[in-house]
Amino acid sequence: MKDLLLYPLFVILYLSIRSTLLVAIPSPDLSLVIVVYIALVKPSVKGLITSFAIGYLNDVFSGGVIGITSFSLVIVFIASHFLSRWINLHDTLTKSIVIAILTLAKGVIVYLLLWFINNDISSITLVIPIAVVTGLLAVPITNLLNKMDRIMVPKNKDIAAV
Amino acid sequence: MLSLLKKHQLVITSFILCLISLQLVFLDIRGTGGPVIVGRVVSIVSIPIQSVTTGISGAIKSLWDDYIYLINLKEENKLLKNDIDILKEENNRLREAALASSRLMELLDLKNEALFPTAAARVTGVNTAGWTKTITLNKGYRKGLDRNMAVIGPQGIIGRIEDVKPNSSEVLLITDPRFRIDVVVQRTRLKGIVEGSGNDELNLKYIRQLDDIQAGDTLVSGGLGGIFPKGIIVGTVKEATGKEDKFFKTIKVIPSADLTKIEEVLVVINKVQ
Repeated sequence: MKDLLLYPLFVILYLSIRSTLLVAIPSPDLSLVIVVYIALVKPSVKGLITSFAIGYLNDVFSGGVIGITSFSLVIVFIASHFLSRWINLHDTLTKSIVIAILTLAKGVIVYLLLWFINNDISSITLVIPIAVVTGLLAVPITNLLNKMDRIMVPKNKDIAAV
Repeated sequence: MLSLLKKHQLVITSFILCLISLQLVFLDIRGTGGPVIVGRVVSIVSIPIQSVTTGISGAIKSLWDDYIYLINLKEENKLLKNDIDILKEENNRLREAALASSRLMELLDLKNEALFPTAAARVTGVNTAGWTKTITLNKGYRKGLDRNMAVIGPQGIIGRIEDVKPNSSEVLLITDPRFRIDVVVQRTRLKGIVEGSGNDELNLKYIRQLDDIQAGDTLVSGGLGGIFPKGIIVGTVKEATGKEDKFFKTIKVIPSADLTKIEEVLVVINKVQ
């Protein structure tokens, strides 16, 4: 549970850094990678609620429409959970590709919801560079999360590597 | 029944959380809901981090410009380079001070010219990933700022305050898809609505096919919404196109303010009468 509480804190830290240091470059969607990681390693109601909270914090921090990111991340969580039954996500390349596709899917969900607010919203291609960067950095980020988990969780409850 | 619920608890919880999220979306669009407490907590955590990272980025840039860039030069040039470093650093500082002074003078001119009370604020964060376009200001309701106050700069309209916290405010930039403002075409006095599109351009809506509008036309605020004072520059028409079967033209507008380089802004602290 303690580790689940840490993820929202990471997200705020990352968003703060992104809004000051990484403004001009496409940065990875860390929230999405964390949610996919939780869905694969800790597929529980607590993990799902954490994903919802991460999305909510994203919206609050970025000044976006409240609920949009939490909605999309809940969908990403459940999609990742079911995908892991059919696809082997232990493979590095597969993991990168699936996370890039999930980033695109999240972009489409956000786009469609924003389209209801303003149907002249700019092109969806905006999300492609973010998906590429997220896919490329997904493996190091999940490895980092895994290492962090190994520190947090006692040895006898050690989790399987993702 | 209970075992069935337990078996599908993830799907059921997801469904409930999706419904809650959608409810939050609709409340937010209607302006009836707001993450007041969570927003404050987030700002308490994020503002110090943003301040530190801004400081670090400045220090790294300064270190790069003033030291690392020069570290591999030959020994015989060291003394000379040292002098140049000092002069460069001083020059940079003076140039930065001159630029800041020039920006602040522009802002001061605008403040003096403005017929409405304004407060200056500094930009501490930028969130432009995806379609959301917002900036964070270093002042909040403790300094008299409030929701729906207009944010302007020397070049024109920048946005409006979307959320206000004790010591910071979230500004919805003019390019955000949720942003709308009534405008007047300066040349022909045509009226329309400008909306953000989520990229660097804006859309001008409700201009009929028979109306006279062309690339280069300047748009100014119409002053009808009660947020923005009348006559402030919004942007310039980039292109106006329209198919015969459509009633309105499709018009792209470039914002007058360069939203990628905002450092200081003015907030109109009284709602426009």
